[in-house]
Amino acid sequence: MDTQPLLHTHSRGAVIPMQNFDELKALDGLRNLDSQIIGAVYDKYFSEIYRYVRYRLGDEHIAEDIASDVFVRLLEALQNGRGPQSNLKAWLLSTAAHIVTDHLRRAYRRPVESLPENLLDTASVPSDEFDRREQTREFQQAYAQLTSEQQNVLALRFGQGYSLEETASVLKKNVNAVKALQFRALAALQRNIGEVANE
Amino acid sequence: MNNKLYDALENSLSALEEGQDLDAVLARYPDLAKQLRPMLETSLHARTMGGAAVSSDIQRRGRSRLLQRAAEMREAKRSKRRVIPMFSRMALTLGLVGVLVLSSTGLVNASSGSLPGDQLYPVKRTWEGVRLFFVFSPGGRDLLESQFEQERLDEIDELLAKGRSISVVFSGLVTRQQDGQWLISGIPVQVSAATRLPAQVIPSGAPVMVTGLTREDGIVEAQEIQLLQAGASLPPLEPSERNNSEGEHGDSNPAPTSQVILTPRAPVPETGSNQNEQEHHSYEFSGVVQSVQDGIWVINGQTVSVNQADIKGNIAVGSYVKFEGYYDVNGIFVVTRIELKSGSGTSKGDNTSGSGAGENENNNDNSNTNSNSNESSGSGSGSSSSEDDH
Repeated sequence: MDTQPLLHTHSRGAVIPMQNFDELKALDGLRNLDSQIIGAVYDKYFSEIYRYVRYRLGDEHIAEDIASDVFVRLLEALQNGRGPQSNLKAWLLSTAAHIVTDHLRRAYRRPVESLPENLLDTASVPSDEFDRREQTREFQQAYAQLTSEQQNVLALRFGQGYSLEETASVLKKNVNAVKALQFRALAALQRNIGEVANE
Repeated sequence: MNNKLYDALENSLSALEEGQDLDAVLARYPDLAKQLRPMLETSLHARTMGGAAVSSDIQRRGRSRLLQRAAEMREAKRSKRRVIPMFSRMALTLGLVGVLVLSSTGLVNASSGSLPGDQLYPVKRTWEGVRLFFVFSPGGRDLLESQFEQERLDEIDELLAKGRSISVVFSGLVTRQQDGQWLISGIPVQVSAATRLPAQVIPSGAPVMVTGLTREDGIVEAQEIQLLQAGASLPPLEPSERNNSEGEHGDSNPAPTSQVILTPRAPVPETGSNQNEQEHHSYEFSGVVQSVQDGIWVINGQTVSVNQADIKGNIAVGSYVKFEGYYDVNGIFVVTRIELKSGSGTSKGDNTSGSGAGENENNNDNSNTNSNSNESSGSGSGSSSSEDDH
């Protein structure tokens, strides 16, 4: 499985173009529904998209569904003459973000009083594991209270490990705006975690 | 201040990412350490929430799902392609049919001016047959047949004008017989010793069918002249429209220059009893008076003699009149009775030709008006023409 990110995650400066990957050729192959190209693109980007969604939602099952759906939407968009023209990864992440937002909106309308499976059974787990799960729950609860933009910047910066520039490119913001955004996001998250812990 | 804080945070995050110790990082910003510490600790916490690597099962399931969807899309695409050629074939077929119809129409149009002997002439005649086939009312059929018969005469006129030698067959009324030079529905016909004639005498005004050959000198050389039965359905003469379908013969007249535009209403066979009228048939017409000069009038383009006419009403130029008469041996129409039908002829008769007065285009008068084409004569109509060039 190729899990190397398309953009170098530790790079600094301008957005780094993809290496060893002819994106235009890949887009042509996707338009032609070339199985090999589809497989290659999927292998290259699925992991990133999945992790991004999982970070945002904290649910592996939903993350799997949404990440798969992102690639299906990519094929459909290209077949309909839409879709990315150049920056494939940014398009995939942007689409994933939209789907996550829609999911959260629906979840907000129909709240479900259930926790992820890994947090349910707490009776027979070791105390270390219990603490870890509790921290995760608090974090996710605090994270969920952030704005969508704040969630996004944290997911890209700390979930994906993207550089400031890469994050700026995906969010279509300038670097200074991302600096300010991540500052506010971390401040809010820290505050929320404290509030959740005190509940 | 904020920018300094943002930059300090970013630099500290980078240092932590590179593996530096938190306290060491904060030591670089002693004045901001208090603010940065909780944020950097939160960032470390946030980094740990990235979760484990993606399992191969998840990756495989997603891959299969995507490739299956791609296969469905490929299939849908192929189906679409199959539909498009089918549609294309249908469109092509329809297009070809359209082109054929259009080209056929163009062919018919092109053939409309053809003459006997022309390559397109059979198209013209076939198209006439088609048109007749689709006319179901007797009146409409008569009208159309009369138009076609008139067309035959026009064709012969044109052949003669062009000096082309072609075999023709046409029918019409004999309006003049003089030294072997006959005038039949306006067509000059040469009758010679070689012409096959019926046993009985053909009187002036009789309906006949002529088989002959157009000559370069503007005359049809008659090969055979057959006398048609009285009451035989003769094509209307001149005018392309005849109003009374029961009328069989018309009279006609003359040469292209004299332009007759009268429509025979009903030929009245005089049955030869009236020798005083020189065995002529009598005809009744209606039309517009175009000029009045002594005893010679022009009605609908035809010159007539009214010296012997019984004139009823105050007739002047423009009057719409009904009149009866016969053709004398010289082909002059001698009016025996004429009466005013209305004061103005503008709405009735038509004068295509013309001298004088109004120039209406055509008219349909229920009584006997004619409509006509310009030129030629009045009665008689041709029935067919044909064939080879010589």
